[in-house]
Amino acid sequence: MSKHSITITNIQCHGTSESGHDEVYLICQSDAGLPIRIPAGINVNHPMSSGDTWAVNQTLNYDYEVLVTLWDEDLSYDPNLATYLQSIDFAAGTLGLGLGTIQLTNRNGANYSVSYNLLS
Amino acid sequence: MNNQISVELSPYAEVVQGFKKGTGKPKKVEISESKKKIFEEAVKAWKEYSTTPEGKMLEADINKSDLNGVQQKISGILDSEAFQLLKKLLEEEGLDAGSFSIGLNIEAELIIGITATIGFAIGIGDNKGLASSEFITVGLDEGIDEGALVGVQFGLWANAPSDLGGYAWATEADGGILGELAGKVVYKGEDDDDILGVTIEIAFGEEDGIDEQECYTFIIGSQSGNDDGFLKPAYQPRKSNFLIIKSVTCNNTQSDGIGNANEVYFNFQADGEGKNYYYPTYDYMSMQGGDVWHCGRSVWFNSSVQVNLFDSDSVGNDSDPIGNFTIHLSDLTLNSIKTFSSTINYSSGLDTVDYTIQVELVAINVPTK
Repeated sequence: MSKHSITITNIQCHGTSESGHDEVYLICQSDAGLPIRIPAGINVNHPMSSGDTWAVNQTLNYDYEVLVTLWDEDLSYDPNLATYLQSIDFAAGTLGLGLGTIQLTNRNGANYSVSYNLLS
Repeated sequence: MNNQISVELSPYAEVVQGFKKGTGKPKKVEISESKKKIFEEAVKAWKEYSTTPEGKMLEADINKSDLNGVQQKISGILDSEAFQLLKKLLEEEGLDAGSFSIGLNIEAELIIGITATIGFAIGIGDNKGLASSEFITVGLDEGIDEGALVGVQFGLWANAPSDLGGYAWATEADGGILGELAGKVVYKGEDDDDILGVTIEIAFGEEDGIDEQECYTFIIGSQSGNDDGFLKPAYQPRKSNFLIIKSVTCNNTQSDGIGNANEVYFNFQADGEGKNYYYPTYDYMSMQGGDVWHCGRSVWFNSSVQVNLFDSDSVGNDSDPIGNFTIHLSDLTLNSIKTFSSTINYSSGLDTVDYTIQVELVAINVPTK
Protein backbone atom coordinates (compact mmCIF):
# COMPACT_ATOMS: atom_id res chain seq x y z
CA MET A 1 0.00 0.00 0.00
CA SER A 2 1.52 3.28 -1.12
CA LYS A 3 1.73 6.19 1.30
CA HIS A 4 0.58 8.93 -1.06
CA SER A 5 -1.83 9.46 -3.96
CA ILE A 6 -2.16 12.26 -6.44
CA THR A 7 -4.58 12.70 -9.32
CA ILE A 8 -3.37 14.43 -12.46
CA THR A 9 -6.64 16.15 -13.29
CA ASN A 10 -5.84 17.94 -16.53
CA ILE A 11 -3.11 19.35 -18.72
CA GLN A 12 -3.44 22.66 -20.52
CA CYS A 13 -1.40 23.63 -23.52
CA HIS A 14 -0.25 27.25 -23.83
CA GLY A 15 2.41 26.61 -26.46
CA THR A 16 3.76 23.68 -28.48
CA SER A 17 7.25 22.40 -29.21
CA GLU A 18 6.57 22.35 -32.93
CA SER A 19 4.30 24.13 -35.38
CA GLY A 20 0.72 22.89 -35.24
CA HIS A 21 0.30 20.56 -32.33
CA ASP A 22 2.22 18.26 -30.02
CA GLU A 23 1.20 14.59 -29.83
CA VAL A 24 1.34 14.47 -26.06
CA TYR A 25 1.72 11.43 -23.82
CA LEU A 26 2.86 11.08 -20.24
CA ILE A 27 5.35 8.73 -18.66
CA CYS A 28 4.69 8.52 -14.92
CA GLN A 29 7.24 6.82 -12.70
CA SER A 30 6.63 6.27 -9.00
CA ASP A 31 9.69 5.79 -6.78
CA ALA A 32 11.88 4.91 -9.81
CA GLY A 33 9.63 1.91 -10.48
CA LEU A 34 8.04 0.65 -13.67
CA PRO A 35 6.80 3.65 -15.69
CA ILE A 36 3.14 3.98 -16.63
CA ARG A 37 2.28 5.40 -20.03
CA ILE A 38 -0.79 7.65 -20.44
CA PRO A 39 -2.67 7.10 -22.71
CA ALA A 40 -1.89 3.43 -22.13
CA GLY A 41 -1.95 2.19 -25.74
CA ILE A 42 1.14 2.30 -27.83
CA ASN A 43 0.89 4.73 -30.76
CA VAL A 44 -1.85 6.51 -28.81
CA ASN A 45 -1.37 10.12 -27.81
CA HIS A 46 -3.34 13.28 -27.14
CA PRO A 47 -2.83 15.93 -29.84
CA MET A 48 -2.67 19.38 -28.20
CA SER A 49 -2.52 22.90 -29.58
CA SER A 50 -2.33 26.14 -27.65
CA GLY A 51 -5.58 26.60 -25.74
CA ASP A 52 -6.38 22.87 -25.55
CA THR A 53 -7.14 21.08 -22.30
CA TRP A 54 -6.67 17.35 -21.81
CA ALA A 55 -8.77 15.83 -19.01
CA VAL A 56 -6.30 13.21 -17.81
CA ASN A 57 -7.90 12.18 -14.48
CA GLN A 58 -5.28 9.59 -13.64
CA THR A 59 -4.44 8.79 -10.02
CA LEU A 60 -0.85 7.85 -9.20
CA ASN A 61 0.32 6.16 -6.00
CA TYR A 62 3.79 6.53 -4.51
CA ASP A 63 5.82 6.33 -1.33
CA TYR A 64 8.39 9.10 -1.93
CA GLU A 65 7.79 10.76 -5.28
CA VAL A 66 6.25 10.37 -8.69
CA LEU A 67 7.94 11.84 -11.75
CA VAL A 68 5.57 12.88 -14.53
CA THR A 69 7.29 13.48 -17.87
CA LEU A 70 5.48 15.07 -20.82
CA TRP A 71 6.55 13.83 -24.25
CA ASP A 72 5.70 14.74 -27.81
CA GLU A 73 5.42 11.56 -29.88
CA ASP A 74 6.88 12.15 -33.32
CA LEU A 75 6.06 10.13 -36.42
CA SER A 76 5.74 6.61 -35.07
CA TYR A 77 6.15 4.59 -31.95
CA ASP A 78 9.81 4.98 -31.18
CA PRO A 79 10.69 6.85 -28.01
CA ASN A 80 14.13 7.46 -29.51
CA LEU A 81 12.41 9.99 -31.78
CA ALA A 82 10.18 11.57 -29.10
CA THR A 83 10.65 15.17 -27.98
CA TYR A 84 11.05 15.88 -24.27
CA LEU A 85 8.58 18.60 -23.33
CA GLN A 86 9.09 18.95 -19.58
CA SER A 87 8.64 17.14 -16.30
CA ILE A 88 7.29 17.63 -12.81
CA ASP A 89 8.34 15.60 -9.79
CA PHE A 90 5.69 15.37 -7.10
CA ALA A 91 7.74 14.64 -3.99
CA ALA A 92 6.16 13.80 -0.64
CA GLY A 93 5.96 16.77 1.70
CA THR A 94 6.58 19.45 -0.91
CA LEU A 95 2.95 20.32 -1.73
CA GLY A 96 -0.16 20.85 0.37
CA LEU A 97 -3.17 18.59 0.05
CA GLY A 98 -5.79 19.56 -2.49
CA LEU A 99 -5.81 21.23 -5.88
CA GLY A 100 -2.92 22.95 -7.56
CA THR A 101 -1.44 23.86 -10.94
CA ILE A 102 2.19 23.96 -12.03
CA GLN A 103 3.38 25.58 -15.25
CA LEU A 104 6.18 24.00 -17.23
CA THR A 105 8.09 25.67 -20.04
CA ASN A 106 10.83 24.63 -22.41
CA ARG A 107 12.99 26.72 -24.74
CA ASN A 108 11.67 24.58 -27.62
CA GLY A 109 8.32 26.41 -27.22
CA ALA A 110 6.51 23.86 -25.08
CA ASN A 111 4.38 25.59 -22.45
CA TYR A 112 2.04 23.41 -20.44
CA SER A 113 0.16 23.60 -17.13
CA VAL A 114 -0.32 20.43 -15.10
CA SER A 115 -3.26 20.52 -12.68
CA TYR A 116 -3.42 18.03 -9.84
CA ASN A 117 -5.29 17.05 -6.73
CA LEU A 118 -3.02 15.78 -3.96
CA LEU A 119 -5.20 13.24 -2.17
CA SER A 120 -2.90 11.98 0.57
CA MET B 1 17.57 -14.81 -11.70
CA ASN B 2 18.88 -12.15 -14.04
CA ASN B 3 18.19 -8.67 -12.74
CA GLN B 4 19.97 -6.94 -15.62
CA ILE B 5 17.79 -8.53 -18.30
CA SER B 6 14.64 -7.62 -16.34
CA VAL B 7 15.76 -3.98 -16.20
CA GLU B 8 16.54 -3.97 -19.92
CA LEU B 9 13.17 -5.51 -20.76
CA SER B 10 11.30 -2.98 -18.59
CA PRO B 11 10.85 -0.27 -21.26
CA TYR B 12 9.35 -2.85 -23.62
CA ALA B 13 6.96 -3.85 -20.83
CA GLU B 14 5.36 -0.40 -20.77
CA VAL B 15 3.30 -1.44 -23.78
CA VAL B 16 1.55 -4.31 -21.99
CA GLN B 17 -0.18 -2.04 -19.50
CA GLY B 18 -2.99 -1.36 -21.95
CA PHE B 19 -3.43 -5.01 -22.87
CA LYS B 20 -6.64 -6.98 -22.57
CA LYS B 21 -7.09 -10.55 -21.44
CA GLY B 22 -8.96 -12.40 -24.17
CA THR B 23 -11.09 -11.96 -27.25
CA GLY B 24 -11.91 -15.48 -28.33
CA LYS B 25 -9.95 -15.92 -31.54
CA PRO B 26 -10.37 -19.18 -33.49
CA LYS B 27 -8.14 -21.93 -32.10
CA LYS B 28 -8.27 -24.28 -35.07
CA VAL B 29 -5.47 -24.07 -37.54
CA GLU B 30 -4.40 -26.14 -40.53
CA ILE B 31 -0.66 -26.51 -40.90
CA SER B 32 0.79 -27.40 -44.29
CA GLU B 33 3.10 -30.43 -44.61
CA SER B 34 6.07 -28.21 -45.45
CA LYS B 35 5.56 -26.19 -42.26
CA LYS B 36 5.20 -29.35 -40.20
CA LYS B 37 8.44 -30.66 -41.67
CA ILE B 38 10.26 -27.46 -40.70
CA PHE B 39 8.90 -27.54 -37.16
CA GLU B 40 9.78 -31.23 -36.79
CA GLU B 41 13.34 -30.56 -37.88
CA ALA B 42 13.56 -27.50 -35.60
CA VAL B 43 12.53 -29.59 -32.59
CA LYS B 44 14.96 -32.34 -33.54
CA ALA B 45 17.78 -29.81 -34.00
CA TRP B 46 16.98 -28.18 -30.68
CA LYS B 47 17.14 -31.53 -28.87
CA GLU B 48 20.51 -32.25 -30.46
CA TYR B 49 21.78 -28.74 -29.68
CA SER B 50 20.71 -29.16 -26.04
CA THR B 51 23.11 -32.08 -25.63
CA THR B 52 26.13 -30.13 -26.93
CA PRO B 53 28.46 -28.36 -24.46
CA GLU B 54 27.17 -25.02 -25.78
CA GLY B 55 23.54 -26.08 -25.41
CA LYS B 56 24.09 -27.35 -21.89
CA MET B 57 25.53 -23.98 -20.91
CA LEU B 58 22.72 -21.96 -22.49
CA GLU B 59 20.61 -21.44 -19.39
CA ALA B 60 23.63 -20.48 -17.29
CA ASP B 61 24.86 -18.16 -20.07
CA ILE B 62 21.49 -16.44 -20.42
CA ASN B 63 21.17 -15.97 -16.68
CA LYS B 64 24.30 -13.82 -16.66
CA SER B 65 23.83 -12.07 -20.02
CA ASP B 66 22.52 -8.64 -20.78
CA LEU B 67 20.02 -8.10 -23.60
CA ASN B 68 22.72 -7.66 -26.20
CA GLY B 69 24.39 -10.87 -25.05
CA VAL B 70 21.13 -12.81 -25.35
CA GLN B 71 20.62 -11.52 -28.90
CA GLN B 72 24.10 -12.53 -29.94
CA LYS B 73 23.53 -15.98 -28.44
CA ILE B 74 20.31 -16.50 -30.39
CA SER B 75 21.67 -15.58 -33.78
CA GLY B 76 24.59 -17.91 -33.07
CA ILE B 77 22.38 -20.90 -32.26
CA LEU B 78 21.21 -21.22 -35.88
CA ASP B 79 24.86 -21.38 -36.96
CA SER B 80 25.58 -24.39 -34.76
CA GLU B 81 26.07 -27.81 -36.37
CA ALA B 82 22.75 -29.17 -35.05
CA PHE B 83 20.75 -26.68 -37.12
CA GLN B 84 22.43 -27.19 -40.50
CA LEU B 85 19.75 -29.55 -41.85
CA LEU B 86 17.04 -27.12 -40.76
CA LYS B 87 18.84 -24.31 -42.58
CA LYS B 88 18.86 -26.39 -45.76
CA LEU B 89 15.10 -26.94 -45.43
CA LEU B 90 14.57 -23.21 -44.96
CA GLU B 91 16.44 -22.50 -48.18
CA GLU B 92 14.07 -24.64 -50.30
CA GLU B 93 12.09 -22.93 -53.04
CA GLY B 94 8.32 -22.51 -52.80
CA LEU B 95 7.87 -22.52 -49.02
CA ASP B 96 4.47 -21.15 -47.98
CA ALA B 97 5.86 -18.76 -45.35
CA GLY B 98 7.68 -15.42 -45.40
CA SER B 99 10.01 -15.86 -42.48
CA PHE B 100 11.25 -18.27 -39.85
CA SER B 101 12.17 -17.25 -36.32
CA ILE B 102 13.90 -18.67 -33.30
CA GLY B 103 13.41 -16.98 -29.94
CA LEU B 104 14.13 -17.52 -26.28
CA ASN B 105 11.24 -17.02 -23.87
CA ILE B 106 12.11 -15.12 -20.72
CA GLU B 107 9.85 -14.23 -17.82
CA ALA B 108 10.36 -11.11 -15.78
CA GLU B 109 8.64 -9.77 -12.69
CA LEU B 110 8.41 -5.98 -12.93
CA ILE B 111 5.57 -5.34 -10.48
CA ILE B 112 3.49 -6.78 -13.31
CA GLY B 113 4.67 -10.05 -14.79
CA ILE B 114 5.75 -10.13 -18.40
CA THR B 115 6.85 -12.76 -20.82
CA ALA B 116 9.30 -11.73 -23.48
CA THR B 117 10.50 -13.59 -26.55
CA ILE B 118 13.88 -12.33 -27.67
CA GLY B 119 14.24 -13.57 -31.21
CA PHE B 120 15.90 -13.59 -34.58
CA ALA B 121 14.00 -13.96 -37.87
CA ILE B 122 15.25 -14.82 -41.38
CA GLY B 123 13.49 -14.54 -44.71
CA ILE B 124 12.31 -17.77 -46.39
CA GLY B 125 10.17 -18.68 -49.40
CA ASP B 126 9.62 -15.61 -51.56
CA ASN B 127 11.50 -13.56 -48.94
CA LYS B 128 14.65 -15.68 -49.11
CA GLY B 129 17.67 -13.40 -49.12
CA LEU B 130 15.78 -10.48 -47.64
CA ALA B 131 17.00 -8.74 -44.51
CA SER B 132 16.94 -10.66 -41.26
CA SER B 133 15.66 -8.97 -38.11
CA GLU B 134 16.02 -9.11 -34.37
CA PHE B 135 12.88 -8.66 -32.32
CA ILE B 136 11.41 -8.59 -28.83
CA THR B 137 7.82 -9.72 -28.31
CA VAL B 138 6.26 -8.85 -24.96
CA GLY B 139 3.02 -10.00 -23.36
CA LEU B 140 1.41 -10.04 -19.93
CA ASP B 141 2.08 -13.04 -17.75
CA GLU B 142 1.81 -14.14 -14.17
CA GLY B 143 5.54 -13.51 -13.78
CA ILE B 144 7.21 -16.27 -11.86
CA ASP B 145 10.94 -15.83 -12.05
CA GLU B 146 12.94 -12.67 -12.43
CA GLY B 147 14.76 -12.82 -15.72
CA ALA B 148 14.40 -16.58 -16.02
CA LEU B 149 14.75 -18.49 -19.28
CA VAL B 150 11.61 -20.60 -19.60
CA GLY B 151 11.63 -21.97 -23.14
CA VAL B 152 12.44 -21.71 -26.81
CA GLN B 153 10.02 -20.67 -29.56
CA PHE B 154 10.12 -21.40 -33.28
CA GLY B 155 7.86 -19.43 -35.60
CA LEU B 156 6.77 -19.48 -39.22
CA TRP B 157 5.35 -16.16 -40.35
CA ALA B 158 3.48 -14.78 -43.33
CA ASN B 159 5.50 -11.55 -43.38
CA ALA B 160 9.08 -10.63 -44.11
CA PRO B 161 11.42 -10.46 -41.07
CA SER B 162 11.37 -6.67 -40.97
CA ASP B 163 7.56 -6.63 -41.05
CA LEU B 164 6.77 -8.67 -37.93
CA GLY B 165 6.38 -5.67 -35.61
CA GLY B 166 3.28 -4.31 -33.91
CA TYR B 167 0.27 -5.69 -32.09
CA ALA B 168 -0.71 -9.32 -32.41
CA TRP B 169 -2.90 -11.82 -30.63
CA ALA B 170 -1.65 -15.31 -29.85
CA THR B 171 -4.10 -18.13 -29.19
CA GLU B 172 -3.13 -21.62 -28.13
CA ALA B 173 -3.92 -23.98 -31.00
CA ASP B 174 -6.39 -26.78 -30.33
CA GLY B 175 -4.56 -30.08 -30.07
CA GLY B 176 -1.16 -28.47 -30.48
CA ILE B 177 0.67 -27.71 -33.69
CA LEU B 178 2.96 -30.67 -33.75
CA GLY B 179 1.83 -33.67 -31.78
CA GLU B 180 1.68 -32.77 -28.13
CA LEU B 181 3.94 -29.78 -28.51
CA ALA B 182 2.28 -26.52 -27.45
CA GLY B 183 1.62 -24.24 -30.36
CA LYS B 184 0.04 -20.88 -30.98
CA VAL B 185 -1.76 -19.22 -33.82
CA VAL B 186 -0.78 -15.57 -34.01
CA TYR B 187 -3.30 -13.14 -35.43
CA LYS B 188 -2.45 -9.68 -36.69
CA GLY B 189 -4.59 -7.97 -34.07
CA GLU B 190 -7.73 -7.96 -32.02
CA ASP B 191 -9.95 -6.90 -34.92
CA ASP B 192 -8.04 -8.73 -37.61
CA ASP B 193 -8.53 -12.42 -38.31
CA ASP B 194 -5.60 -12.64 -40.73
CA ILE B 195 -3.03 -15.09 -39.43
CA LEU B 196 0.41 -13.59 -38.94
CA GLY B 197 2.04 -16.89 -38.14
CA VAL B 198 2.20 -20.06 -36.10
CA THR B 199 4.65 -20.89 -33.34
CA ILE B 200 5.70 -23.92 -31.37
CA GLU B 201 7.26 -23.71 -27.96
CA ILE B 202 9.50 -26.08 -26.05
CA ALA B 203 9.17 -25.27 -22.35
CA PHE B 204 12.15 -25.85 -20.08
CA GLY B 205 9.96 -26.39 -17.03
CA GLU B 206 6.29 -26.58 -16.28
CA GLU B 207 4.15 -24.86 -18.90
CA ASP B 208 2.35 -21.77 -17.71
CA GLY B 209 -0.78 -22.53 -19.75
CA ILE B 210 -1.54 -19.13 -21.28
CA ASP B 211 -4.50 -19.71 -23.61
CA GLU B 212 -4.67 -16.28 -25.18
CA GLN B 213 -2.22 -13.45 -25.10
CA GLU B 214 -2.15 -9.99 -26.57
CA CYS B 215 1.40 -9.14 -27.48
CA TYR B 216 3.50 -6.48 -29.15
CA THR B 217 6.60 -7.08 -31.21
CA PHE B 218 9.40 -4.56 -31.45
CA ILE B 219 11.74 -4.95 -34.38
CA ILE B 220 14.94 -3.80 -32.75
CA GLY B 221 17.32 -4.32 -35.59
CA SER B 222 17.06 -5.21 -39.24
CA GLN B 223 19.24 -4.80 -42.26
CA SER B 224 16.42 -2.98 -44.05
CA GLY B 225 16.61 -0.04 -41.67
CA ASN B 226 12.98 -0.35 -40.60
CA ASP B 227 13.51 -0.67 -36.89
CA ASP B 228 12.25 0.70 -33.61
CA GLY B 229 15.69 1.00 -32.12
CA PHE B 230 16.67 -0.04 -28.65
CA LEU B 231 14.59 1.27 -25.81
CA LYS B 232 16.32 2.59 -22.71
CA PRO B 233 15.24 1.49 -19.25
CA ALA B 234 13.94 3.94 -16.63
CA TYR B 235 12.87 1.30 -14.07
CA GLN B 236 15.40 0.72 -11.32
CA PRO B 237 15.26 -2.15 -8.78
CA ARG B 238 15.17 -0.96 -5.18
CA LYS B 239 18.29 -0.48 -3.11
CA SER B 240 18.74 0.72 0.48
CA ASN B 241 18.75 4.49 -0.03
CA PHE B 242 16.80 6.88 -2.21
CA LEU B 243 17.71 10.32 -3.51
CA ILE B 244 16.21 12.74 -5.98
CA ILE B 245 18.27 14.76 -8.44
CA LYS B 246 16.02 17.75 -7.90
CA SER B 247 17.49 20.11 -10.46
CA VAL B 248 20.30 20.99 -12.81
CA THR B 249 21.49 24.61 -12.77
CA CYS B 250 23.26 26.15 -15.73
CA ASN B 251 25.59 28.93 -14.64
CA ASN B 252 27.39 29.10 -17.96
CA THR B 253 26.93 27.08 -21.15
CA GLN B 254 29.52 25.38 -23.24
CA SER B 255 29.99 27.03 -26.62
CA ASP B 256 29.10 24.41 -29.18
CA GLY B 257 28.75 26.54 -32.28
CA ILE B 258 25.02 25.98 -32.65
CA GLY B 259 23.41 28.79 -30.66
CA ASN B 260 23.56 29.94 -27.07
CA ALA B 261 21.84 26.93 -25.52
CA ASN B 262 23.21 23.55 -24.51
CA GLU B 263 21.12 20.46 -25.21
CA VAL B 264 21.42 18.92 -21.78
CA TYR B 265 20.86 15.37 -20.57
CA PHE B 266 22.52 13.26 -17.91
CA ASN B 267 23.16 9.65 -17.14
CA PHE B 268 23.71 8.03 -13.79
CA GLN B 269 24.95 4.80 -12.32
CA ALA B 270 24.42 3.65 -8.74
CA ASP B 271 27.21 1.93 -6.81
CA GLY B 272 29.25 1.36 -9.95
CA GLU B 273 26.93 -1.48 -11.01
CA GLY B 274 24.87 -2.20 -14.10
CA LYS B 275 24.31 0.05 -17.07
CA ASN B 276 23.72 3.77 -17.14
CA TYR B 277 20.24 5.25 -16.83
CA TYR B 278 19.46 8.40 -18.80
CA TYR B 279 17.30 11.44 -18.11
CA PRO B 280 15.50 12.55 -20.08
CA THR B 281 15.42 8.92 -21.15
CA TYR B 282 15.54 10.26 -24.73
CA ASP B 283 16.14 13.73 -26.15
CA TYR B 284 17.39 16.65 -24.01
CA MET B 285 16.51 19.87 -22.20
CA SER B 286 17.70 23.14 -23.75
CA MET B 287 19.48 25.31 -21.18
CA GLN B 288 21.11 28.71 -21.14
CA GLY B 289 23.05 30.50 -18.40
CA GLY B 290 20.78 31.17 -15.44
CA ASP B 291 18.34 28.35 -16.27
CA VAL B 292 17.27 25.84 -13.65
CA TRP B 293 15.86 22.54 -14.89
CA HIS B 294 13.69 20.92 -12.23
CA CYS B 295 14.28 17.42 -13.59
CA GLY B 296 13.28 15.40 -10.49
CA ARG B 297 14.81 12.04 -11.44
CA SER B 298 15.06 9.68 -8.45
CA VAL B 299 17.79 7.11 -7.84
CA TRP B 300 18.06 4.01 -5.64
CA PHE B 301 21.57 3.44 -4.31
CA ASN B 302 23.53 1.85 -1.49
CA SER B 303 26.61 4.01 -1.14
CA SER B 304 27.27 6.23 -4.17
CA VAL B 305 25.87 7.63 -7.40
CA GLN B 306 27.86 8.85 -10.38
CA VAL B 307 26.09 11.48 -12.50
CA ASN B 308 27.48 12.58 -15.86
CA LEU B 309 26.05 15.63 -17.63
CA PHE B 310 26.26 16.03 -21.40
CA ASP B 311 25.58 18.53 -24.16
CA SER B 312 23.93 16.63 -26.99
CA ASP B 313 25.51 17.79 -30.22
CA SER B 314 23.05 17.12 -33.02
CA VAL B 315 25.52 18.38 -35.61
CA GLY B 316 28.14 15.76 -34.95
CA ASN B 317 25.75 13.13 -33.58
CA ASP B 318 27.94 13.06 -30.53
CA SER B 319 27.80 14.42 -27.01
CA ASP B 320 30.22 16.60 -25.07
CA PRO B 321 30.68 16.10 -21.32
CA ILE B 322 29.81 19.24 -19.34
CA GLY B 323 29.59 17.96 -15.77
CA ASN B 324 30.81 15.09 -13.62
CA PHE B 325 29.31 14.61 -10.16
CA THR B 326 30.08 11.95 -7.58
CA ILE B 327 27.57 11.64 -4.75
CA HIS B 328 28.37 9.61 -1.64
CA LEU B 329 25.81 8.75 0.99
CA SER B 330 28.11 10.37 3.54
CA ASP B 331 27.82 13.71 1.63
CA LEU B 332 24.09 13.87 2.23
CA THR B 333 21.74 14.64 5.11
CA LEU B 334 18.25 13.18 5.15
CA ASN B 335 15.59 15.55 3.81
CA SER B 336 17.96 18.35 2.92
CA ILE B 337 19.13 19.52 -0.47
CA LYS B 338 22.83 19.68 -1.28
CA THR B 339 24.43 21.33 -4.30
CA PHE B 340 27.20 19.44 -6.10
CA SER B 341 29.75 21.07 -8.42
CA SER B 342 31.48 19.23 -11.21
CA THR B 343 34.57 17.32 -10.16
CA ILE B 344 36.05 17.92 -13.63
CA ASN B 345 36.50 21.39 -15.09
CA TYR B 346 35.33 21.26 -18.70
CA SER B 347 36.18 24.94 -19.36
CA SER B 348 38.56 25.63 -22.19
CA GLY B 349 40.22 29.02 -22.73
CA LEU B 350 37.52 31.69 -22.53
CA ASP B 351 34.79 29.06 -22.77
CA THR B 352 33.67 28.70 -19.15
CA VAL B 353 31.41 25.70 -18.57
CA ASP B 354 29.64 25.65 -15.23
CA TYR B 355 26.77 23.42 -14.19
CA THR B 356 25.70 22.29 -10.73
CA ILE B 357 23.15 19.72 -9.60
CA GLN B 358 20.95 19.83 -6.53
CA VAL B 359 20.33 16.53 -4.73
CA GLU B 360 18.00 15.57 -1.86
CA LEU B 361 18.31 12.39 0.18
CA VAL B 362 14.71 11.34 0.84
CA ALA B 363 14.99 7.86 2.39
CA ILE B 364 17.60 5.65 4.03
CA ASN B 365 17.71 2.00 5.07
CA VAL B 366 14.62 1.14 3.05
CA PRO B 367 13.75 -2.58 3.08
CA THR B 368 13.99 -3.88 -0.47
CA LYS B 369 10.71 -5.45 -1.62
